[in-house]
Amino acid sequence: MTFDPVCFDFDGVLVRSRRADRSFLWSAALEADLGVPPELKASLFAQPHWQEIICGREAFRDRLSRLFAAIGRPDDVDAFIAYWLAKDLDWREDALAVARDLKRKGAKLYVATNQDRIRASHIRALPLIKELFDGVVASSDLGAAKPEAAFFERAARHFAAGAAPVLVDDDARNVRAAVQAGWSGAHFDPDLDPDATAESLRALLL
Amino acid sequence: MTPKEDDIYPKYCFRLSHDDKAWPNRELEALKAKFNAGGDGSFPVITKNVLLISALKRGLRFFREDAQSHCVHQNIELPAEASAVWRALTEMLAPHLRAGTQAVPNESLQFTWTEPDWRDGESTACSIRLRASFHGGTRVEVVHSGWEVFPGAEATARKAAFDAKWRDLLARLAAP
Repeated sequence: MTFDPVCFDFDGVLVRSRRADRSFLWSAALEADLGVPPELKASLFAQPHWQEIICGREAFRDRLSRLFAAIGRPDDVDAFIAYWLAKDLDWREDALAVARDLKRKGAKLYVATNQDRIRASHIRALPLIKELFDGVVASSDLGAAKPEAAFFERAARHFAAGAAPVLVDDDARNVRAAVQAGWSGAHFDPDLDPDATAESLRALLL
Repeated sequence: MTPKEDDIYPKYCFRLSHDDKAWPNRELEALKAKFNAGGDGSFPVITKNVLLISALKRGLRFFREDAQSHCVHQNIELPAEASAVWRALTEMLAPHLRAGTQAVPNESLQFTWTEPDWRDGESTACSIRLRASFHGGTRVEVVHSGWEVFPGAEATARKAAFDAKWRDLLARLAAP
């Protein structure tokens, strides 16, 4: 096999993430379901905090506590986290089928993802991930996020010597950065590109 | 005296891009006369914009042709959809795909090509694009560059060999 290990991005590759207008699928009904006001919704993943959070330098729970306290609902943090983790998990079965075929052929599989510590732990504990993947390399553990070169350099420490990793990612910037770091890269964005089919990915990887 | 066309392009291209108002009307009039010679003079076909666009096109053509002279270029139009071409292409090229490959499935593939008998550091770059053709099929465009890593005449010989090789590879893609 040419590429081994195969590293799948999580959001947008293994799970559906965005609608055609680029808004996130999971939070479409956040206001209606949890009564989260629009201004709070806009602040949840706002920069520069989110970059600090996904690089493991700021705890998302602390940020959420501050934001919910500011609107007088400090007790709603756990409910929000549970809602987020449950809703943001719309598996893309066609991509998983490619991963299963790669696994059958003996390839090592990793999830290579920009995630805060809470969701990274949640993903790592999912039975499907434990069954199919050899590991989850998350930005919050590595202290660097894609497309930073440090992400790829530190993630590669998880792989065997002589590995020829490939990153499958829905963000072209991450793919370019992976290639610059000596990995291979496949840009796969089925949420927004109807031509990006799992079959085309299978043809490349298998 | 009417300037020669070749003298005018670089000069006016520079002037237009730096100071459009400095355009010398006398020379423009001479140019109009030259290019309109033989016509009835009803339409001033040469304007500053026409000349500027023309100069830019010449420049782009020059760079493209200059770049092409150092690359293998092969194109083919196939009746199949991009996804089918992609499958055949990746299967055919799988032995050559290695670290540093960059792919957009059904659209493009960039990778390094080396051969076992090439010396250390002798690697070339392949870029393949798939485009929808007017006839409903797929146009495959191959650019194989980097031949300057080989010394002197070896570069020309290897490039020529790969010209033939790519013709053969693309013919295999076209085979039923």
